[in-house]
Order: sequence, then C-alpha cells, then structure tokens
Amino acid sequence: MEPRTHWHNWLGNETCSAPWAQPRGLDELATTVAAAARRGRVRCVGLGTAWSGLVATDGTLVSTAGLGRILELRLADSEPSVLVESGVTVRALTDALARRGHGLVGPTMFRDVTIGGALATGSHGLGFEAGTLADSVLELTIVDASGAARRFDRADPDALAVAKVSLGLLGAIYSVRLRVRPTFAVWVDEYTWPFDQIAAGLGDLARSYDYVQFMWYPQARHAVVKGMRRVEAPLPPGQRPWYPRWLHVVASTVHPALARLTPPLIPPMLRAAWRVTSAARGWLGDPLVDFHLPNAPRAWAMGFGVPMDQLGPALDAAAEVARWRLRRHGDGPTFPFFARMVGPSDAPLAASYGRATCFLESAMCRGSRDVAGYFDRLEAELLALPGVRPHWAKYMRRPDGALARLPGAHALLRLRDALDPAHCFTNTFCERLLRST
Amino acid sequence: MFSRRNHDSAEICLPQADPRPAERQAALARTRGRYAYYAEDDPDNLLAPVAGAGRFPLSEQYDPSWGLPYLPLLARAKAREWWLNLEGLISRRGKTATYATFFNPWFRPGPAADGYATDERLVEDRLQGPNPLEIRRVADPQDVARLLGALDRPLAPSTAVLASEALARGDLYQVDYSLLREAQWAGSARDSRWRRKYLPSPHALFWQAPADAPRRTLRPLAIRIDGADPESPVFRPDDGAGWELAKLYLRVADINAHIMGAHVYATHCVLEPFALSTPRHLSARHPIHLLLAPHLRFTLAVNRANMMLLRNPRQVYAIIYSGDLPITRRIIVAAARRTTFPALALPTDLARRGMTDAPVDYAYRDDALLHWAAIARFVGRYIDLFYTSDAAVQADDELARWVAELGAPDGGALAGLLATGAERSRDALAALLTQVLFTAGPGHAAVHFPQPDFHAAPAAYPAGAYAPPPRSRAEADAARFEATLPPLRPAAAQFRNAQLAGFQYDTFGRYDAYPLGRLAVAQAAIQGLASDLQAVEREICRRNRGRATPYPYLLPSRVPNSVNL
Repeated sequence: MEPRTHWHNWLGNETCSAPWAQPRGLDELATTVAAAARRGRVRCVGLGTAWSGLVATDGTLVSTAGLGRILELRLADSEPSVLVESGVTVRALTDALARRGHGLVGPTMFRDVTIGGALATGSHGLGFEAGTLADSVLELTIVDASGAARRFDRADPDALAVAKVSLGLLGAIYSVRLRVRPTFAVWVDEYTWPFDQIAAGLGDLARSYDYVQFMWYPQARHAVVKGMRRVEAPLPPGQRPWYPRWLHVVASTVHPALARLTPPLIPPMLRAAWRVTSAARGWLGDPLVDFHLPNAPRAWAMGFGVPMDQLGPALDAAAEVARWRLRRHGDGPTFPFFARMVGPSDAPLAASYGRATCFLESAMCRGSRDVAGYFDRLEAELLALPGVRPHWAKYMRRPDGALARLPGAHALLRLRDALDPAHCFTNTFCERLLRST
Repeated sequence: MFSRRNHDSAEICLPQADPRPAERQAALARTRGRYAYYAEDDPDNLLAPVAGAGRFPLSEQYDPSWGLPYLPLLARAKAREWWLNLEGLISRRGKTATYATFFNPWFRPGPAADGYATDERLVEDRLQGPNPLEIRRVADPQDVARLLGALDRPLAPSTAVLASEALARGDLYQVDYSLLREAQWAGSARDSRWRRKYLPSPHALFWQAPADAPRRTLRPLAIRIDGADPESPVFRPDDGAGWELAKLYLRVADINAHIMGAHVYATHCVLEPFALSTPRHLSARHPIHLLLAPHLRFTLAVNRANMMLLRNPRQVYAIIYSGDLPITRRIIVAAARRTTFPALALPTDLARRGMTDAPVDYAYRDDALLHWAAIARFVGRYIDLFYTSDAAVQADDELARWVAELGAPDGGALAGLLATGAERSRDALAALLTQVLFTAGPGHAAVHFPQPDFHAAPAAYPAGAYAPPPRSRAEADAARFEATLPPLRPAAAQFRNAQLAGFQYDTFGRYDAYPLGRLAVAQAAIQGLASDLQAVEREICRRNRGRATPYPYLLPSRVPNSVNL
C-alpha cells in the first residue's frame, strides 16, 4: 500500500489527497508509473508552483523530487548540452552551469521550478532567441503507462516538438537533454516610461533589445522597462538591487492585509511601490541575476501568450479591466502587470508557438476581494483577442476547450493515443482542457 | 611623500653621485612602501587597465592651503545650485528661458552663453573652445564619402564643388566622436530609444576657403548626429531646425568626449603614474623628483576624488553626463586604448591630426606651442645642471627603475616613454619631462579652465541629451530641441560643477612654495622660465587683441603648476 499525501500547490488553491510515490532513477520511476497506471490515473508533480489544475488527481501522484541529478555535461561539444533528470530545479541547473561558464537558453523567470514542470507547461523565459525553455530540448525520455522508457529526439522532430510541451499527458518525463550556451554579459537599461509611450513604441522596443520585459502599474500609468542586450564584456559580479527583498516582504504581509481590509489603499501603495522600483539607470548585468526574479510573494497569477501584433489591443483591454476593477472595488489589480517578450516556439502546444509573443501576466494578492470576478473578466477580454493563448501553468478560470486554441492539439492527441491508449495520465482539469478538441 | 623640505644644493644629486647611498636607499624604500598601484584584479580600480593609485599617504591629500581658498567658491556655487533648483520649482518657464537666468552680475556668463547657436561659434569652439583637441584635417577621402554618402539629398552643386576642392587642397577638417562609439559595448551599436539620456557620436565636416579668399575661417559642411546608427540622417546648414538640433548633439558629444577623453584621461590619468612612481623610485634628493614635485601636487588627491565620483550613481558624473556610469568610465578606458603617452605630446598630436600649420586661426596650437618651447628650454637647462652627459642619464639606476615601472603593465602602463641603452639621452629625458610639465600645466589648463565659461551654460553645452537622436529630418523641430536639453536638476548641477572648475591653486613656474624654488643651482633656469613665461603672456595678450574672440586659457598667469582639480 503506497502512502497517501494531502498535496497542495504553492499558492494553496489546488489540493488533493492521493497515493504518493517519489521514485529515484529510471528503474524506480518505470516500476512506480507502471504500477500506478494499472491502478488508475497518474499525474506527476514537481515543486507544485503552477496555479492551474494540472496536478491534482484522484489517482496517484508521482513526485519528481527524487529525480534531481545532472546526468551528463557536454559543454565542449560543438552544440553544448546538459542531460538532467526532470526533477532538477532551474536554480540548481543554472547555478551548476554558471560555475562552468554556461547558461540555459530561455530559463524561466522563477528559478524554483523543476525542469520537467517547466517543460510540460510550456513555461517561458525571456528573449527573442527562444519561445520557451522547451525550445532548447534536444532529447526527452518519457516513461509511458507500461513503464517503458520512450525516447524522443531530433530523429523525429515532429514527435519531439509535441512531446516536449505536453502537459504531462503522455507520461512521466524522466530525463531531458537541453541545449546550453556559453554565458555572456548583458547591458541592461532599466527606465520608467509613461505607459502611452511604451504602447506607441512596442515595435521599436522589441527591435532595440534582445531581452525585454516591463512592469506596468495601471494605477500610476507608468511602466518600468528593462531592456537587455548581449554584449562582449566580462561577466560582472552578480548584484541585485536592494528593493526586491523588501518588496517581497511587503507584498507577502502588508499587501494582502490591505487588500482584504482597506482596498482603497492599494492604488496609493502601488504608486509608492512604483516610486521605489522606478528606475533610470543602466548597468552591465549577469543573465543569472537579471533574467530571473529573486522570489515571488504567494499570489494569484493569470498569464497569456499575446502575439506581438495584438499586444497594443491586449494592453488596452487589460487597462479597461483594471479600470473596471478600480471602479468596482476601489483597488484595481493589486500587483503590476508583468510582460516578457519571447521569440517563436517550435512546440505546437506552447503559447508562443509559431510567432513572437509577449507573455502578459496579472497578479492579485491573497486576500483580495472577488479575485474570481477580476480574473473572469480579464480572461474573457484577453482570450477574445485573436491569437491570444493561455499560459498552462497559470491560474485559469475557464479551461474548457482551451487546448483547441493551439494548432498542435490534434498532434498531441494522436501521440497520446499511441503512448497512453488508456488515458492514464490525465485528470479532471486536463479533461476540461481537451473538451471538444 | 613628495619632498617639501628645503634641500641644500649639495644634497640634490644623482644616485651615482650621492655620498650617502645607503641612507638614500633606506629612505627611498620606506617611502616606496607607502605608495602602491592598484593590483591588476583590484575591483576598486574602475578604470582598469588604466593604472591608478591603490595606496598613498595622507600627505598627498588636499591640505588647508588648497581647501580654504576653495571653500568660498564651493559654498557660492552650491548655494546658487540650490537657489536655481528652488526657483525652477516655483517658476514654470521653459528650459532655455530658465537657463538664461543662471547668470547674473555675480555669475557672469562666459563666451558660450551668447551666440552659441551660430555656425561661427560652432567652428570657433572647435579651434579655441573647451576642447580644441578633437578637430583634425581630413586625410582619408573615405571619411568624406562616409558622411556625405549618407545624405538623402545631394549637396548643392556649388557646395559639392567647394567640398571637393577643399579636400584636394587639404582644407577639409572633421570632428568624429568615434571615441564615444568605442565606449559602447560591442554588440550594442544601436543606440536605444529607451533610455533617459542619449550618447550620440556625431561626425561633422568643415571646410576652409582657398588661400586667396578674403575670409578663411572654417565653415561647417554637414553633421551626422549619430555615426553609429545607419538610420541617423545627415544634416546640412540649410536644414533649419534640424541643423540646430545637429549642432546641439555635436556639443553634447563634445563635452562627453572632452571631459572623459581629452581631460580626465589625457591629463589626470596619464599623470597619475608619474605621481606614484616618482616617490616610489626617485629619492627626495633626486633632481627630477624635485622638479616634478610642484607639477604633481595634489594629483593623487584629485584623482582619488574623481574615482569616487565615477563610482557613485548619485554624484556628478551620473547626474549630468550622457552615459550611464559604466559607459562614462568606458569612454576613459577607450581613450587610453587608442593612444599612448608619447602620442599625446603636443607636437606629435598636432602632426597626427594634421594641424601643425593649418588652419590659419588655431589659437590653441599657436599659444600652446609658446608654452612648449618655454618649458623645453627650462627643462633642458635644468637637466644639464645634473646630467653632464648622456652617459650620466644611462648610469642613473633610480631613473631606470622609474621609467621601467612607468611602462610596466602592472605599473603605470605608459608604453614607449624612454628608450633604453645608448638612446636614453639627455634630449630624450628632457622631451619626456617637457611633456609631463606641459601636461600638468598648460595642457590641463586648456581643457579645464574653459569649463566655467562654456559648460556652465547648459543650453550651450548640455552634458546630456534627453531625447533620442532623430531618425529623420522631419523629426527635428524646435520642440525636439527643447526636449533634448537637460532638465533643471542636472542643468543646475552642471552649472555648479563648471563654476567649481574655475579655482586656480597656484601659477605655473612659480616655485616659491616648493624646495625647487630654493634650489640655488636651479635659480638661473627658474628665472629663465619666468622670463619666458612673461614673454608668452605678453605675446598671447597681443594675439588676443587681434582675435575675434580672445583665447585666455593659456595665459601663463592662468595656468597652475599641477592637475589638482
């Protein structure tokens, strides 16, 4: 009898009570998955940082926490790569690579996520060189319902493209070979701009930098733009500004209390936060520092992959929802909108598939009133725009049929029928995603 | 520590002639331990690989003789800055109107405050303005093609002929702020529109009429605002608002290249190794130590203060200049990489720029050469007092170690200073010391003391451009010009900073306060220098009376002994 666990995700909005297994190595994973599949449904879980319902199951939860090894480093190859187990965290991997003068292509914004989870959800990094972290996958080993290890590589690029962002529907990812690149320095420009100026100059912003993100405070009508370019320069000692740690404390404690008790104080507080983070400076940066956020307060977050040509309308729509929220509850969105621009992905299930994309995210702190109402409206407004796709790891209010928005959904289902004909690797949330596909 | 005590003439001698060599060596060893260069990987040296002082004794810092006379100027300028900021908060005037109020009877405007927008002033400032070291004769026709080839409409036929003829005659000149391009990180050539301040690197052409023309002053031909950006248009003098904007960007580039390149690197930084290696390797009884002491006074102190300003994002470099601090520091490093100390010698520099005998009105060259000749005579006579032959130079082991450390990569990193062996002659030594004294005195004065007159006027010489360079001629209008000028706070800080540059500690060639001035054997040489400098003063005064705009910055009475501010 396997132990049961009461599992909840990072935010605590997703929970389940299920048998729990934590295999170590390929053999244990194969045995565990095969046994669990014989009993019923199986879902894998990494660090549980996703907001969506991809993990919670009435079957068996297979944790990848025991799959945390870096198996092979081929840094001297003409195409340097690293082979890792799926439970390795982005933090551990980027640190290990940095010690050897290398880095990931398109690493995720938060470093405390597992590689397997980031791949399965199409999680993205920053920059036009890749659409998602999955775009650097060279080979992938998935354990199917029979316990067999299925390897996907560039010999069958179509299958690899589908398998690398597959929401865990094909099986349990055991290992991944990721393309890596020698590390480099970036020149960082971080400046605060009126939002209207950004909206009018999005094209130029994307042309000016290799890596672009901005934090938009609708209440202040300003955004802090961080643009980065690769430069030929020695890597500087990593230094973070002082304020993220304090903002994290405030956002984790004061912010939720205000949101619950006195919503009208949120706009002035955000304006104050904007003053603190407001920047006008440039520096020589290290991607290991500047591509990531140090940590994040536990908050609700919804994200969308917006095609670049729809970014203007998407920002207008988001601004309208923010104003609606302000009128209705007096607070507006309790965190700034966050936007990161990436290149096109070749994974058909990735939100950035086939086109340059801006991932636009909105967050609400815990304790905010009527979170559901805000996200309902935001989701409805943004997904109504052509080409806008949901981010699989973020909070989703209406997942029904969402996979049908992606051109690769049918390819995924075909591959799933071949690997998992009994459809063991699913749950209620996934079934809703797949409706009418 | 630099020697400040009086010496008997007999005490001052070369090491090979010193009757007490052990005592001399022991004293030198003690002093050497108190001075050190930055280690190669010392993170405090923000200008690496430019050499700097990692350690030096407190006695090198400013003392009351410097600080007390400076304080009233500091207080006055600081108070004025505060008042301007306060006034700016209250009034709602435009930038240009606000900057006009910076000056009053107590803060008299310099020549830059009036008429700075004219083409005549644009030319004049290149020849006798704050930075007369940028202009050069066009030697490569490709430079002309690079600029004029980017015109989106051809020059008027008459102008094109004039330009072509001027090039053939050697009467075409240019300023190309490519130094500012070199300071950008490789891979980031495109200037971003997403900064608050912009650092353009303009390229401008000037031409001079033929020798038989009634008026031979230079005239501008074209300016490309940002030579690094292929989308940057080329402006002509008949482009109206676009031409005015192009000239503004040129002045922004000029102040940045001037302060970081011609000023901080080519005077402050190149003298720092001399200020370090002299006490480390030349005994206080060495005649060259005695000669250099007045000319290296407070140089370590000012450079240390400068390094702190280059480190602090709340200080003047970050506030007023166009580049972010790392870029600003890279301009200094780029200036170091593109030249050598010998190449900075006045005659060499003039020859390299093709400016030895043309254009006709080049006040900086004409006046600076008077100084160079006077200093060379003085140094030659002084050297002859102690080195009776070239062999004496070659036998001076303190001198050999001094030169070796100045040139060493882990020392001063100043390559090509003095030949070794038989070529190490008295003449070569005199040439080196002439350049050191010239750089510390007139060379620095020419790029430092124009600041209160020119850089105190933010509308004339804004240190930062606050709007991105236009990508088309249609974008350039009066509103863009106003938007490009700095906001009040950096403008007021620039005004204050430029005012402070007017402080003069002492006067070149006056050695009364130094042991050198009391060295009996050197009195004739010193008096000869004083006499020569008086003649230079008279000659420059005479020339200034005939110049359309006087050039006072090389009047010997306005030149201090050392780089101390």
